[in-house]
Amino acid sequence: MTMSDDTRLAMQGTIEALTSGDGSEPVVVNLGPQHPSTHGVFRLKVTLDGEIVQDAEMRIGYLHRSMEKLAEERTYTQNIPFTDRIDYLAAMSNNLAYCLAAEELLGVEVPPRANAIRVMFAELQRVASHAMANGTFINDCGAWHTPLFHMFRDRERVLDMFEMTCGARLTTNYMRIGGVAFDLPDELLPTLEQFLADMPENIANYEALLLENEILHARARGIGVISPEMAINSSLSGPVLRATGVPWDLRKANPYCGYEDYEFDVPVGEQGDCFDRFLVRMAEVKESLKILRQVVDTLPDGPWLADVPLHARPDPGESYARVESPRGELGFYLVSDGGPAPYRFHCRPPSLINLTALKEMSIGGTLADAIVTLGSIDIVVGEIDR
Amino acid sequence: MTSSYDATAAMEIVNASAPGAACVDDGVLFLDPERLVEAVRTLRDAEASDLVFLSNLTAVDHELHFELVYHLQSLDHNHILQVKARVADREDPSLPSLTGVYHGAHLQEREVYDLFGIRFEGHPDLRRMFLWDGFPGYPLRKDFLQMPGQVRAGLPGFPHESEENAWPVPGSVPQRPMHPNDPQPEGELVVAEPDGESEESS
Amino acid sequence: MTDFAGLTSVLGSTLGAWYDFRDLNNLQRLITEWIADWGPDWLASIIAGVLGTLGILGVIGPTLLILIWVERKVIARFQQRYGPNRVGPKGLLQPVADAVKLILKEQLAPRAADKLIFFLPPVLIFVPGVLIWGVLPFGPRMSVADLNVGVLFLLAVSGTTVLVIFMAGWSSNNKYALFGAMRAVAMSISYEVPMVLALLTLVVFSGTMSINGIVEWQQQEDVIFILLFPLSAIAFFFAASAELNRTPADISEAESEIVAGYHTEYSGMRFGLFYAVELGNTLVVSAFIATFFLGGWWLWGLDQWVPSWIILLAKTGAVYFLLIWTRGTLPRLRVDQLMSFCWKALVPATLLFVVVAFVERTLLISEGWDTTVALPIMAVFNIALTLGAIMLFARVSRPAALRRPARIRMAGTEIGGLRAARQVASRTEEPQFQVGGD
Repeated sequence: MTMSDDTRLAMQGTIEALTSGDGSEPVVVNLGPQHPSTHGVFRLKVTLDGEIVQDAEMRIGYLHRSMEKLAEERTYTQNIPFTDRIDYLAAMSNNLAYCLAAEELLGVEVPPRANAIRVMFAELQRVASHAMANGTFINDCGAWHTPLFHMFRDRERVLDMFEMTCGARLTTNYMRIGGVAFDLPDELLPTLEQFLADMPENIANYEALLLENEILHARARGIGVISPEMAINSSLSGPVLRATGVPWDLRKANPYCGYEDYEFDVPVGEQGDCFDRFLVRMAEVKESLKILRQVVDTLPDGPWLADVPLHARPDPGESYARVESPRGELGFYLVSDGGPAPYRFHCRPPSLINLTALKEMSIGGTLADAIVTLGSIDIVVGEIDR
Repeated sequence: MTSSYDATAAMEIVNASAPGAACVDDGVLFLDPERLVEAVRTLRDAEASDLVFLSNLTAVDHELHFELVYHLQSLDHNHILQVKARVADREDPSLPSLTGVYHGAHLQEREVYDLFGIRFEGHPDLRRMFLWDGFPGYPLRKDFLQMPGQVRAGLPGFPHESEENAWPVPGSVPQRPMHPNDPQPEGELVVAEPDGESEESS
Repeated sequence: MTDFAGLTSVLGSTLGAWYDFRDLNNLQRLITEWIADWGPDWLASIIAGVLGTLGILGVIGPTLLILIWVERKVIARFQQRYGPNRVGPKGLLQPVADAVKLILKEQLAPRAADKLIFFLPPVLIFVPGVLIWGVLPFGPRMSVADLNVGVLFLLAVSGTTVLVIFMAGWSSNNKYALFGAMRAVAMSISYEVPMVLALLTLVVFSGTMSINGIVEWQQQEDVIFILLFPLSAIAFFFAASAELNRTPADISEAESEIVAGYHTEYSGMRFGLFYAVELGNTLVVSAFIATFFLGGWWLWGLDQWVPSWIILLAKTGAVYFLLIWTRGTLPRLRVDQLMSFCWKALVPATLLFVVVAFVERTLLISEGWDTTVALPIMAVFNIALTLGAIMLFARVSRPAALRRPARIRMAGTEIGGLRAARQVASRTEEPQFQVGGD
């Protein structure tokens, strides 16, 4: 067999590498765009020295759908379905943030029942999204899907509630400017009661399975650490920021939809590592259930949608509304020129901005640590690329 | 509740260290693009303003100029300040990068560069992010892919407001010629009437 | 390499008639004796070898298909799913459907792959996978080759698998595959050591290297080795699951990191062969764990009434279930953690037990202690020593990052930035919950 050119070149490269310096050269590995743990079409280009990450660079845009441009040609109401597709794992939160921004622009007063329903669905969405985030995080740590499937059971029940309310499970398109699209169906509250009754036991099961798991500790503790100063400077938000110990939650800091009326707490971590992010999410689910309990108990009667003209032309101006989505600070910046469509429609995507510090978090760790770090940030590629 | 930080107070803080770098117009703080970094750093480090968190960074194409919009947030004082800077040059717009002040500006500035074509001087890794290198044009500019015949980006009005905006009424669009293989309509083809006649009967 | 000592002993044995299913060799002996009546001896030997091989292949082929179903079903139950339930009754034919699909799939090879070396591994990996069955004693005289150095043969054959894995990973010309292969090599070489040392304990203590001899020693002394040397059993179990690439040590095909490891580039039935051999190896390793540490085909006299191979299968099933259980429960360790666990924990601990076995053996043989009294005392001593060693390891080797508990505090009314963070962190009362730590 004669030596092919490829082989000869490869051998030459090997010989050069062996004769120069320490005899090794870094390997560049593309994680993605199709990879089991990039959670979508996301590409992480890592430079490895053995198993140690020397450089990590992300390449995104595989899911770019130019929503910000498309939204400039659609009326304010027509833009609501776009927001579902931005973060498809937290569609309700995205609906809510956009509607808040549009309401600020239009000066709409939202009826109290609509506010309560919005809080209810935003918190249900948080439970569902955190179930997904924690489940896939454990999967990234190498578990064989077991915690993921257990947590999907809870998410499934939340999605069932979405379906019975608005007919869709993921892309809900439920919030409207001035309220919500439909009133709650009769069967929702009993289902929610049952869900609230079952969840404490389920959470206790997850905690028994995961919290004291030594392997999980070994994999996630002290990995992907970021300091609170760096986290704030990098504009991180959500559980990633709170895991560093910074108690910043927009539901408390800038209450919207009547969050100030509900009693809940903001869990914060200490180390800012992957395990703290996981723990913060676990604790946030409990707080969300607390809020849901109060919402169900104090659900006011009345209209669920304010009288907003479908063809609204807001006055020229701008608005920036933010909510605490499961992934962090989700903002919508709208500029109106008095026309029927927004002049500028901008989404502040927490997934994208939380990735700012990914490089700093993963350099120096192993390849496996980089995967765990990426999993703990909880990205949604639809939101990164929009 | 997050309060809005007073733009005049912010202007005084900036102008104390960099005279003339800031001005207030209609309640909005505008910064001189030349001295943006210095001004924002002052705002970040001053005890009174303490704007340590770059919440949002984006740009708006106002056709005559680009407007950079920064939302700066103080976590401890819980106030937010909207800061703007204008770039008039459409051919080669450029602005100093804020990455030295806020690391969080890194990806957001890349996004603005990708979609608006505004260069950020001093950005460590300014490349296109969502679109590929060599993509023609910058999509979020208002003149991107301007159509002939004065058709512009954006929605001119609601469909019911004028004839021009109207969505096509069924039957108003010329039908394509019938092909022999098309299923033949049985009986008379009923076309929904656009005017009020059918509504009354139903 | 093949030694027919076992078979010839089978030929001369006079156990029951061919329908006595306690010993499946009866049927084979009938055939070989019939051939020996009219033909030469060597023909009988060859026929006996062929029959044994066919028997093993006939056993593991269908068993693998059922095992795939069992594993998927059990894992599904762990995960609150149904598992396969569409093809055939209770989904039993699902593996067959999968196999048909895999066979019909196109088999791709990367353009830059080293073709010859790329094509060989799926075939070669079958060799150790089948050879290893040859020394497994299904019953007192039921092994294809009852080698007097069976333990050595077992270790030697199982060690060759890693070469095939390395061939697969290297020739694929894929970085994931290369990573998987390098990890597999590093791990295999490391985990061979505690594996050998764990078996050395048994060899030293029972004084034989024959696998059947080890079972017979357990039968003779009325004790199973897991009670005498629990740490060796644990070490062997963990080392075996590392060699088998099963969670928590499946780093060489870690799905979330390197996609599928060394067999990333294999498609169709080539992948199917890797998958089948992996399952087969899992089964045979379960069987060897049952043989070495749980008494194999012997169960305190029950083997006189129930066919010995059914007892072995039951024990194998129990061990296999344990392997599925750990796989369904635990996350994966990192490469360096696995390596340091091997060299810093398993190797010293198993080495300690080799010494212990040596001392205890000397006490039994040279000092002439009465085994009926001495063995229970030794068992209690060894179990205590095992627990002590595990606790000592857990205390000493814990990384610094894990020594502090992870704490979650509640912010309460403190909402804000660094200042609020400092205030929350400086609170002295107990945090909302904390986990881990010493």
